[in-house]
Amino acid sequence: MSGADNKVESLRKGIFRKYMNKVISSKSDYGRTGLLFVLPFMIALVIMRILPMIYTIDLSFYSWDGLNERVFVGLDNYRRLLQDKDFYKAIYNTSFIWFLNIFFRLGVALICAVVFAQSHLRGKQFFKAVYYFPNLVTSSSVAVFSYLALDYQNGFINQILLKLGFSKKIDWLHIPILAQSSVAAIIWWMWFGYATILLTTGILSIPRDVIESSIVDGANAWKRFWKITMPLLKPIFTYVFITSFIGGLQNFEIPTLLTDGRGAPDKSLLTMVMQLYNLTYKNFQYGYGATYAVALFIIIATVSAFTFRVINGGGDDRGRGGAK
Amino acid sequence: MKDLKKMTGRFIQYFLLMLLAAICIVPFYVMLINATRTNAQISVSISFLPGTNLRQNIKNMNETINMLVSFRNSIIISLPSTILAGYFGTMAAYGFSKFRFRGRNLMFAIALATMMIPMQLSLLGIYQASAKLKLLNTYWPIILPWIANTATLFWLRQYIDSTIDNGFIEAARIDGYSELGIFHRIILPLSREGIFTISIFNFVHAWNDYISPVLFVSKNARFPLSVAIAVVKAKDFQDQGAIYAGVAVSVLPILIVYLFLNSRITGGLTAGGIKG
Repeated sequence: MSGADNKVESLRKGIFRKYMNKVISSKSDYGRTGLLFVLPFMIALVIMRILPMIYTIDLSFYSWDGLNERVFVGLDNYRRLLQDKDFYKAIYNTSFIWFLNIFFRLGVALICAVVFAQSHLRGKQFFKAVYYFPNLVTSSSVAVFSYLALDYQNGFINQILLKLGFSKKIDWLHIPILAQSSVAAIIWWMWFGYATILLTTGILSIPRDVIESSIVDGANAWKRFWKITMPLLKPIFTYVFITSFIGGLQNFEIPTLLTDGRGAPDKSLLTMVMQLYNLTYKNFQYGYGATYAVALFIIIATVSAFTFRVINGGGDDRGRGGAK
Repeated sequence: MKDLKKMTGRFIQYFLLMLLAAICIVPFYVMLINATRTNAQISVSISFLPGTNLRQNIKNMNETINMLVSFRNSIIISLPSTILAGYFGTMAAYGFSKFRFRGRNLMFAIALATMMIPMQLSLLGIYQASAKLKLLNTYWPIILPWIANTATLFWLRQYIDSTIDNGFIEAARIDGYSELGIFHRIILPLSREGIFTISIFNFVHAWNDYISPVLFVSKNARFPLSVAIAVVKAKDFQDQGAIYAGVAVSVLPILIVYLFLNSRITGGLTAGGIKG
């Protein structure tokens, strides 16, 4: 009797435990909790990023001034965009300014990173901190400040140049190529410290034994740099490259504030987002502005995907080969 | 001989590093100095010694736009933005990190994809929605999008993945904590280092944001510093001393915070993988 009872009891306990375990570890149950944790974020993401994005894409097929009824125009905005000289001008300016600055950004950052990666250097933290600081400053402040610094009459850049023995002041902001170079230099100034820090960490994270074995193999410093350091830095280069490209195409504050939104001289500082801003919020061509925004997105997505494949193509294949 | 070569090499290295450091520091120094000089002094030549006109410059600056009010506005925008991003970002990161549920990977992929989409594509829609809801000239359309800050999500997911052991959560469950209680009393305190680091970046980002306030706000008295400084320049660019003072006011708070937190900030750039 008692034996049977015990058996029933233990069976019951077993079932209970089994049941409880199921409750505790059941995927669906705790899963629902997880979903609840994620939901506020996801709902906000849908309301504040995804729906507005769909709205903009939809708007790009309409003509609308913000007041009257919007008119469906099909692909007219896109046709107009492809024939818009200012659009190509803006793409050219934006990429030219970006290219100028990314070249020097990666170059200087790489040199600094190699120097920083040597263990005996003192004051590393000081240099890193100083190089990174311009990145934290409000870019509108940087723009206004640069406007003063580069001023032909009173700017301190020209004052320094005169002191250094230059015979003539330079009109930085009114000669197209100089204006573009100035913007590139400002953006370089704001971002080379960031690239330096990322590349330094990248070099330091290369395993010591890889380097040591190559020294045993008789590779000199130069060869080690090209055969080991550079290939292993590829992912970080890709990252810096793509993020700087996405940021660079959205170049807006500095050229806008330097030129009061006109993109002067000779439209040389007209960038894509500046044009988008002017079209939409100054000329109230919402439909066409939306088309600009979509084009911006398409360009960013295409180039990012392309860069990723070109730079990381080799690495990807190796990864796949290894998995097999 | 070899030592000499080594010495000159190191000398050249330091010289170049110092030169770059000067390129980063000198402009800020000149900015602070020029904020204290008269327009005549500024236009004549550069100086490394302060002038006596600081008070007048600040007065002139405040006649165009009240920078103290803008400073307050910047805080009213940045502080809630940072807190919302940190709270909801951690919550979602915890959900993605420690739970398995249907649609988890898809949702995470969607969040990842929106990182690649330029903000401008959404701004037009947010602008129209805010106009309809009569939210223009308020800070809501600037602050609320911070709830879904994807950079915060990725940073904290990685942080929680690598630092918080499932055992803590199991133990808390056995102790009878509610799920929300676990989040508030275990996960938030355990993640505070990670939350703090990403929050510094979020705060600076919100503080520096120019395009959202310039779109959604059109009253001088409600402008944050980032927009106010542009107004000072546009209205009165003959008065360079005043503009320099304005720039200095907008840069100084960041500079001061940076003096204390610089190693934290530069370290945070690369902690736990590369996340901007």
